[in-house]
Amino acid sequence: MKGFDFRIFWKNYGIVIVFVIFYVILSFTSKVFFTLNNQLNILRQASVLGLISLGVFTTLKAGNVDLSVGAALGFIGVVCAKVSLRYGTTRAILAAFGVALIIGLLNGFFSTRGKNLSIMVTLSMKFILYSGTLVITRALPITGLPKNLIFLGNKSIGLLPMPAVVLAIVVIIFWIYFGYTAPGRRVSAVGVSNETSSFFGISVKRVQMYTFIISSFCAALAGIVMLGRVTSGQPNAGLGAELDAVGAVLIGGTSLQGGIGTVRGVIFGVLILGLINNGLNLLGVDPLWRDAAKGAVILFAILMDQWERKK
Amino acid sequence: MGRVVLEVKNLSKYFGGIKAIDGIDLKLYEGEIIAIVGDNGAGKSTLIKTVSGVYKKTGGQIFINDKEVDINSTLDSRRNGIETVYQSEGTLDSFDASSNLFLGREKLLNNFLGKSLRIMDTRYMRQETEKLLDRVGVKVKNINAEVRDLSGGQRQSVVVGRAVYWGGKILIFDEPTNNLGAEQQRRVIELIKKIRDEYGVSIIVISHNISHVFELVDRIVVLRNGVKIGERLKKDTTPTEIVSMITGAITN
Repeated sequence: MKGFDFRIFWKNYGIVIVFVIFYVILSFTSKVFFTLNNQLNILRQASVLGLISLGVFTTLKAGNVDLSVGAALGFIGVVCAKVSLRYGTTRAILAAFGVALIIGLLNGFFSTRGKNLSIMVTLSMKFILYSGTLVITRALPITGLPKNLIFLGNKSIGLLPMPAVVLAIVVIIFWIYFGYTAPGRRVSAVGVSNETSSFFGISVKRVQMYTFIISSFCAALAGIVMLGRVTSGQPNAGLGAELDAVGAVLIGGTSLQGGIGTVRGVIFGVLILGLINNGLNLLGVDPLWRDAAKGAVILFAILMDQWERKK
Repeated sequence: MGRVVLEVKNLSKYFGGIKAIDGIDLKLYEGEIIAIVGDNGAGKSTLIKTVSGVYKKTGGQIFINDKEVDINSTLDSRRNGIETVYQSEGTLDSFDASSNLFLGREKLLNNFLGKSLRIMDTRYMRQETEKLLDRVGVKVKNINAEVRDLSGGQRQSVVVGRAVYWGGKILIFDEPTNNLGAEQQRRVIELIKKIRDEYGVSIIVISHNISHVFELVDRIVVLRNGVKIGERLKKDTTPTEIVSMITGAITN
């Protein structure tokens, strides 16, 4: 451990370096990239993904994964939209979080029946919720939403788009939660070792339950923000977003084995995916190739992660 | 001799028809270190697992400070001041020492932030950790280092320190020097002695390393085939005699 250790340096700053490299390359290769409008656009797009990525991150920290966040975003969004047309914004938002609570409880309840069930449980939930979205909307957009419901998605504070402000607030909450609170620390403890955690009196199932509820709440917030961004309840909102979220979280260095990963990593992972989407678009790359680029970056992140862990 | 902190009377544990331990009597005095020795299958592990609540006893009684106690779980034993130190599930390797010491018992800030948001008092926890490690004679360069980056001996100190920090009065060590290098073995032996001297706790060590046993303990209890063969004060016996008792060359 003498002098400069590139491995440790990379572990701490690798994600930032990758982000800066992408950023610099795009600044030089595209005229549009560096314009204020485009920068704000990246932020706006990253916000919804950021919210659900933090949810996925929380479940991964505890050693599970929530693959229902994309469908939950869509489902909660259209429920919220429907309710708002009839009962107004306040009740619509209450309904959104109420539904989120139920989804989280169901995910948590079934996922904690045994080991490694969360993939299957939340995948089932994803299908059920997506179907529910189509049934509610009859596959048609819900329009004419109240103004005070959509402000989270389409207004700005000064230059800052509201979605980015929402994400920033949530990021701060998560940063405090994982860095400074006892419940947050226990989430990581459970992810590192169920056995050791329960040996020291931590209720593993309860902690895991909480992570699924947190994840659903993130999806609910993302769903509401999404309503505002497209000023309507779209039946396809959030479709497949869970995979982008898992990708962003993996790029950010969170381990699938649980316990390891940082909020900072998640945010940079989200921003890097945002840059890829935005940059390839600006550079005129055939959109059909976009997912291949994402896949390559995720693969690179996983390889670097393995290399970091090797002793 | 001081007072008796742990007494086991006629303790038995059967697995079906197999008598893993049968009619064991044992006393542990305050501030004493004893070893339980015996061949594989002699019942050492069964005995301590029954005392520490991993197994439910088949018969007999357990007294802590002259009061009979009912030990049906590891939680029960911990409530009665018995802490068992295993090598395996000791620490969370990606956590630092203080997070490990306070795992599941985090100290919260003593104000609004602690009570409402459950914000931890990390400074207090770190200071306590430093004090504890200092007291058990461990120097850690970086208190914030992940436990995986500590040496085996330092990690053991965290595990042992945690046991006494949270009020363990009777410590049980299961093969504490197993799978360690010679230097680390020495440190662990010193650590166990230091813990006894600093905290006045009573200690039971399970080991089949006779030379370590002679370095460490005051009294040696020998088991064979689930039965107590005898016990000797260290000053009244020799390794040869103990080995003979273990193997059955001497019976008494």
